[in-house]
Amino acid sequence: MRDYAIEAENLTKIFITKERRGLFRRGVRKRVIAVDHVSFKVRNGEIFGLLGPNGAGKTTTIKLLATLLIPDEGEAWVNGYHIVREADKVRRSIGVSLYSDRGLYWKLTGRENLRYFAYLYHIPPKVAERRIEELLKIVDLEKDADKLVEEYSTGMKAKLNLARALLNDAPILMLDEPTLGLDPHSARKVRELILKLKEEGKTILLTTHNMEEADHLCDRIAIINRGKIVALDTPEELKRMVKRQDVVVIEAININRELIKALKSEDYISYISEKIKDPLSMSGTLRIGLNENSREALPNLLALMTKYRIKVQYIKVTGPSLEDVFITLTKRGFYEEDQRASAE
Amino acid sequence: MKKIKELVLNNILVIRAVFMREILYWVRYPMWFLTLISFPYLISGLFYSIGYAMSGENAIKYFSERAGTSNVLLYQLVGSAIFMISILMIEDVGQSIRVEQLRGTLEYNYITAANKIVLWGSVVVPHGLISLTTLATSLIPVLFMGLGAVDPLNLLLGIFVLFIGLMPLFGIGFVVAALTMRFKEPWAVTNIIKAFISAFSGFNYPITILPLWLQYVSSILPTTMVTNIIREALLFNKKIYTMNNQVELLTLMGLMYFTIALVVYKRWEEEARKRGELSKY
Repeated sequence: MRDYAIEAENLTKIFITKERRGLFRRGVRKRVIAVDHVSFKVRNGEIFGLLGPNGAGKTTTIKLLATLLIPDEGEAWVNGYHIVREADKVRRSIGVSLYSDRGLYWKLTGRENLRYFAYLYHIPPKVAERRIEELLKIVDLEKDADKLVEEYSTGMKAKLNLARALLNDAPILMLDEPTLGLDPHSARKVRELILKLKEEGKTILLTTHNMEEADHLCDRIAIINRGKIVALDTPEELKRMVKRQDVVVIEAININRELIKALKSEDYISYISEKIKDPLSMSGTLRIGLNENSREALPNLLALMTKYRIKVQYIKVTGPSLEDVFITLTKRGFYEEDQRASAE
Repeated sequence: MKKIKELVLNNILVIRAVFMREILYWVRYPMWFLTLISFPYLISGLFYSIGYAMSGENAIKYFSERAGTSNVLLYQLVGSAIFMISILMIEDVGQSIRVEQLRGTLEYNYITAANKIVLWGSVVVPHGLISLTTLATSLIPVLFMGLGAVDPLNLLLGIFVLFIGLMPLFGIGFVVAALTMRFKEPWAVTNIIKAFISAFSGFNYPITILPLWLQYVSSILPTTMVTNIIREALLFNKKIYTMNNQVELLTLMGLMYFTIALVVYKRWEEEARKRGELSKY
């Protein structure tokens, strides 16, 4: 048996996009390096996470490995099969979930969707029916199995998507943002299922931009940003990359530029990451990495909040998380990277 | 031998899956069937009205002279039914890959173990069945009213010919489908093809009224051939097995278009994977 379920060597994918500017002006061609010489190996039976902000190249990497895209450079093997030369064998070795709520036949029921894909995976009818029943139970969709998918909620569609990925009982699962858009209860159920699948011996490659999820689920994580892997290790080792320091998390209203500028000029602050949830009220979260003990810094921080008329709703002092690792490595937070990606 | 059996069984499962999916969609959008069975009558009525408006009471007389039959109603119904079936085949097959792309199901279909040619090609089975049901439902009442020749064997052969005649259309549709993996505008292309075959296949008027050069164009269209064969059988009780040459030519056309479709598909499938077009909508 091979040691690695997935091996990627210098995998690179470049897209040519066209920027449209008005009715008559010619579009400008742009070369976007979605995945930039990415190399990693996923061991058999582990949960390997690709963690990164939107537009980092996570989904493109999964699509390359799932044979939906042909790389421009580099090579990869899934279950020992080459992703270009042995694409059919790769497809038989994987179960894939790409979008949490798309890619289903809306005019078919959940059960009919699963039956359709089971046949495409060459599962004989009797075996398929047994498997479908089993999977509906696992994803908790038994009661809704005979409803049309158009009547499903986002969470139900995500569960059906996951059930579809498990249909062919493939040894390797590739799950792209499996909990995206799910309510906390459904997300927890999906995470439990992923852990159960690992116990059953499946190798799971998952992408997420949810740090807690990656921390909780993954044996190893590759942090990916702008198409490149910037760090790869276990969550614990990654967190050790950040020097032992306190992080202050503040949820507030009226977060303004002046405050950010003032915070950046303070000596006791190592970095700041802001995440604005509502641009109208400028409410959001500030993540402030400290250079010194939080007890000494907190009064100063609160004084600055008062000075710049920030309405603090919640404040917490915590240790470094994967987000702090990301900020340390890229000098930016996920939110800032998301903003950059959508601006591009 | 075991491998061949497995291959056949696997492909039957794929065909079954597509058949089931398409039929369920049809059943859940039932108004389509009403449209299909009523359209041959509506289109025939439309042409009759235009003819009457242009030539008055002599319309039927003039038409019969040019078409070579006094059974104008059956002549029109055969043409209109085949018109509907042909349009449906080109439209549905031509847009099939694009529809999957828009729905987000293309990639999921693509990453299964199914052979892609069998997978995309399987739509011909449910569509063939629906087409034949349409033809039967539209024509059988007229035939049983004594307006045409009802020879069971000939009818069966007629159905077979229609199925063969659909193959080139499937091929044309598949070429469009393959191209839309890249170009995303199947509607424009299928509409042009539909307009072309509607005008030059002799569905509702004899192609002899067209200029000579257009008659040549018309005679190489598979739709013209199928319409001719079925009209000969139903209107003049001509035995289909005596029209071997036309049937052979149709089969050849089917193979030719299908081969072109395969080449185009293979070419654009790889291109789509290189450019990331499978997921674009």
